[in-house]
Amino acid sequence: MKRILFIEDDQYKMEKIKDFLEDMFSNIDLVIRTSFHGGFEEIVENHENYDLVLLDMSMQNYDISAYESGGDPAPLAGKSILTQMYLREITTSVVVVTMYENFQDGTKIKDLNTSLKEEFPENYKGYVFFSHMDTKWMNDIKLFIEKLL
Amino acid sequence: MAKSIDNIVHNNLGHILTTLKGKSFKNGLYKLKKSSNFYAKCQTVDELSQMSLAYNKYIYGNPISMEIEKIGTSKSNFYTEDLISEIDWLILSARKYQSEINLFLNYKKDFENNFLLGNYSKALNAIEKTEKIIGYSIWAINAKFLIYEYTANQPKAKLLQTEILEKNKKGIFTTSLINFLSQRSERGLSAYRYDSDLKNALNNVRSNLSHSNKDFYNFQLNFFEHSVYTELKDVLSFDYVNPIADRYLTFRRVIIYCMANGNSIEYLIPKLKYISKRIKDDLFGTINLFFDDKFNDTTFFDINYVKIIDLYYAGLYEEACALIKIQINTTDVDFNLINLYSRSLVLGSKNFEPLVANPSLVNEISENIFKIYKRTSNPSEALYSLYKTVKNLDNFDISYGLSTYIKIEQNIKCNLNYLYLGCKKADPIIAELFTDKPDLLEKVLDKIVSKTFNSISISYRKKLLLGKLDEVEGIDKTKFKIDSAKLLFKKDMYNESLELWSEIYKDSYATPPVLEASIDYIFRILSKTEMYDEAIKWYVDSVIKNPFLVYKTNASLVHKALKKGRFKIVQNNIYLPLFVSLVSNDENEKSFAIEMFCKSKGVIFPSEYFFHEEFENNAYTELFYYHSCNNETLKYYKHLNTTKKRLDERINICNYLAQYFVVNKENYSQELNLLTNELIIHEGTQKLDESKIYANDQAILNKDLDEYEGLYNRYITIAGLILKNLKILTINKNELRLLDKKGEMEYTQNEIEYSEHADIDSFYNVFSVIREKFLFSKFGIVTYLSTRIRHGVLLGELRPELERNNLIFFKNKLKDRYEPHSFWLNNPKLIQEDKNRLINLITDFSSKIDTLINKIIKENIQISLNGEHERGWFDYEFSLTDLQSYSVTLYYEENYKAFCKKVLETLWKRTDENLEKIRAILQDKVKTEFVCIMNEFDGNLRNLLGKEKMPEIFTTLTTCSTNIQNKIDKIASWFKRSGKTHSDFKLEILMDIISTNVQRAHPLKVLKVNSNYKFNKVIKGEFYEHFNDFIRIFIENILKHTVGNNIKCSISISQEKDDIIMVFENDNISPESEIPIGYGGKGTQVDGLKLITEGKSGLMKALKTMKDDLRCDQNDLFIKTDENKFKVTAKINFTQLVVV
Repeated sequence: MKRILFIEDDQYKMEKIKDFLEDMFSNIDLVIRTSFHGGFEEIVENHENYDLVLLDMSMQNYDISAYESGGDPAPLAGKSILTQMYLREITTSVVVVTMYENFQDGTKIKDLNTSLKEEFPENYKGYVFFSHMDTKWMNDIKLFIEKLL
Repeated sequence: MAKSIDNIVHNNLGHILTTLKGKSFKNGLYKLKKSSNFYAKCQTVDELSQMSLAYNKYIYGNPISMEIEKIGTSKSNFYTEDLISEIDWLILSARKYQSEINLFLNYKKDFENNFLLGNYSKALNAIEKTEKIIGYSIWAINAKFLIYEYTANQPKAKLLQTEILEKNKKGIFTTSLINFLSQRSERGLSAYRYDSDLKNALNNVRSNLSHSNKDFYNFQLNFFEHSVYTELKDVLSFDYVNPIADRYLTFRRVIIYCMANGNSIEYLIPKLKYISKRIKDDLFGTINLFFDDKFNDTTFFDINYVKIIDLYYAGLYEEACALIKIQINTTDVDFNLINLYSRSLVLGSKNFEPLVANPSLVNEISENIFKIYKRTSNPSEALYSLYKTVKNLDNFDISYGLSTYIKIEQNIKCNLNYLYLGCKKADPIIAELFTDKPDLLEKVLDKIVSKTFNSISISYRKKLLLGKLDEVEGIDKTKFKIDSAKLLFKKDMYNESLELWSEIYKDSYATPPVLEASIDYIFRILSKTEMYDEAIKWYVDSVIKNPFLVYKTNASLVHKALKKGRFKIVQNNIYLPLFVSLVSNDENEKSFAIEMFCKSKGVIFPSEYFFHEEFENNAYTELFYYHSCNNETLKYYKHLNTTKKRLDERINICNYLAQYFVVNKENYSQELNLLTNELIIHEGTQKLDESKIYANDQAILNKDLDEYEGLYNRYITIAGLILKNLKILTINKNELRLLDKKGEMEYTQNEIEYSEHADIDSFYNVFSVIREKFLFSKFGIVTYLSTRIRHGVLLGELRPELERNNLIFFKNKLKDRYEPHSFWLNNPKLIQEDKNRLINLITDFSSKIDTLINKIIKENIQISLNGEHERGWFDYEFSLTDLQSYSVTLYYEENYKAFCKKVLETLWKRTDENLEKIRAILQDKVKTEFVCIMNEFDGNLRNLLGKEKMPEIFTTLTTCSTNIQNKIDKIASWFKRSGKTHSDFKLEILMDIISTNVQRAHPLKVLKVNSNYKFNKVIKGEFYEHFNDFIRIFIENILKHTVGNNIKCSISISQEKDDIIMVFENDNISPESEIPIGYGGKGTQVDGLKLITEGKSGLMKALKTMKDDLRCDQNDLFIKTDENKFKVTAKINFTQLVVV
């Protein structure tokens, strides 16, 4: 079995991708985390368990619970996780899965792609643009998984 | 040669006169302008002038305007393709009007000197003299604006602007220039806003000469903010319409720009020699020094000036300052002298002394420079002040030096040549203009010596520039050491350089500039030699000694190297987190460095280190806890994975800091209050808050708006004038008059509109800034809107309902069509024909649903503003009537802060209106649209399938329709203000939360509350924060003003008719309490009114909250003492507060 850590705070996007992966690949074990901190802790503590990280770019800071509303939104939380991985010498491959074409600071996904490639060449393998309306993302994720796993 | 020129002139004249007969005289002059022989051009225009004065207007434009109406009205210029032709053409006018220009330059100098020295009436007199001799000019109008601004006569500046706008309707650029110059002259200028306003106005330029128009306006209005001008020919060509005074000023700036950037120097030198014979312009002194062997201007070769430089080089700072004072008061104001003065005071360890007796700009500038060198406060404040000043003084000659100085001190890449070219005296630094040409610089320095005296500073400078430094008798020993150490560094002799710098640094007399240079070079050497442990230790130690001395030190290379090595190439000690938090902008790196450090000490949280055996209370600890472990960085700290954990950790840290580092206790206590409030709100906020609309107005108010007070002041001035029934004109939306090319020689221009509502416009300027921050800053609504709603979240709520039931297809982007789902393709119940028709129906349905969802996301959940997103539901456009009404009511606000708060309130009110409207649209219109599409789909399916074929599809569709309607209701509930939505609550629960949290801020005290709560009604959530605000004050007072650490108090809550009665009672009031209690033991009476109004107790604020925010004027506070007991009773009418 190949293990994928999927860090994603959007429930429906997560469900769609999860369903797709489970349908498409029989040898995948998916672990899900839903916030910057949740994903960050999991990859730091258990990175040796994972073959790939699917990473959302914008998410809440903390896991939502009865006592936690999630904290401030972290528009580039995915980049933060990549930085933390780099600093801790965690070399697991990362594919960014985002619904943003432009981020709140004005960064375009294509520019972000270029800078992530430069900054995190060991981890960052590319990005998939996710849309609820079309299916291109399925093919893109599939290609990445076939290539990386 | 002479004959040859005669021939050319003859030909020129012949051609022009022929074209005159052919009615294309302009074409003839156009060819003349483009012709290459300058001397022939001169002779041709002279002869034309002799033939008829009528030709002059075609050659010289409208050089002298004795009426305001005529400024900038000449229309007879002809566009050319090269800078050289334009410069030649300008020189033709300059030679013709040389005596006027000479007089103008003298008066200009007179004006600038007097203005800078604070002699405003003399300065005004100089402007008026120029107007008498050379007529009105844009320069003179700008100068008057400055005088009015600096003599606190802002209304007069606005009236002058109105007069010009009213009278000068035909001037091509006049009104646009005046509009911006009026803003640029404002004393309280919001300098960055000015930059962005001009940039925005120029971004809208649409013309086939757009680059030319942009260069022209930037050159005239914001010269130093742009390093490259590509269309200088048009800067000159457009300026042709203006008076000769303005044209000449543009010309000399073009020359300086070209010289500073090495453009066309070979061509310009002979032209400058030509013009210098006719016009005495001291701004060209440096150029003449380099390129004119016969240059012998005694004002330039000023012996006293060189003496000052010598005194400075000799380290005789007091003597240098004394001479500078005389020089500034008796000759011209010179930037290098102001700079030298301030630097000498600091190097001589003196306090600041004004340069001149008058309150003046010279004193302000020198004091700011003094502060920058002194480094006892953050230099960025003084630098911003200078930045504003240099905007005001953009067209003063000292602006070259001043603007370059600011950039140097800000560590911004800049062209130093402006500094050298701006020298109007033979200063040896001039030689650096051509450091790449040692022969030339040597020659120049020798020439200064030959024209002045055998100066030690020049001799020393020469050796230094040639890299052959040895000691020169009379030169200050420290200066020699510093220059030697720099030279060694330049030659990569790091060990030798380090040794020398260390010696300099350790000198007990070292002054801030010397220390700063030493710190910087030692750090650079440690960095170059990859001694990273030593480098970061050096940096941190320096920050601890004086953080402002490392203001200019660039630590990025060391930071980069450390990051590359994952921070493992240096020792894991306290220096690492300190260094990273000081130099990095990335909170992940900072939190990681803290984590590494904590791990090395065997602790998880920074606060655990308080109790570590190696722990020391020292400046490093304070910096570590205060700066490194700040609230923002802790958001990224691995082990703090909830808001509460993070706030608790920071509260612990602040409590510790307040307790052990008493010097900054005030800061820590303030932060503690903010954190405790945040925690209270966090804990009290509705746990399952669905609302997603939020803006942090407190952060906007405190962090984003300071810069714009100048705009507020402008509004107050203009609105004040209009209230006196005076007419004030401005230009609509800073619109610019632009030239467009029409044919080879003709221009067209756009019309610009004046505003008849200057008060509303100026109000709108400041209002729109606040609105922009409220919406788009990182604390603004859009940040939250985008993350919480727009991107995917909304789509993810609605579409999956249909997807789950195979009622919607996905689109194949590459093929641009919907792909049928296999569920239908393989459905055995349907024949192929029905399948095809069904697939067509679902495709059509998919498209309609996606189009509707897309429309909501891309068109509706948007901010409708400034003509963008007209269908956006977040409508922040305000009508003229609204703005007019606000501009009148908000005029009376006490100050800028109060004004900003009111505007934010207005914006929240609009947000609430928007949200209410959005909820209604969603629940009504949007829901109906979805239902219509689904009903239509249902009808089409029934036509296709009948009732019998696939009955389950209709059931599914109906369920989906219901679910989608419920989802839309859910989505509508997101559109509420977040963070303000508290659950309805009971007072006893709130009382407990507040007691616990206030206690956190006083960790050494234990509060025991004897409670008696007999009020069971539930209070509406909207009053949560208000109750929190004033109850907190009462409990804070109990903790602050009671003797001892074990504090007992009684709190009761009861009901009397329609009132809540809250009683807070404690004893053992401290005799040292600051609150005005006449403490005298038994029976002492409290002065209740004084106590409430005096402010220290916060009771005034509490009472105000009780009356205003709890919406009842009858609410009241009663204070009573009995023996040493203290009792506060709050009476609050609850009729509007409780949930019925």
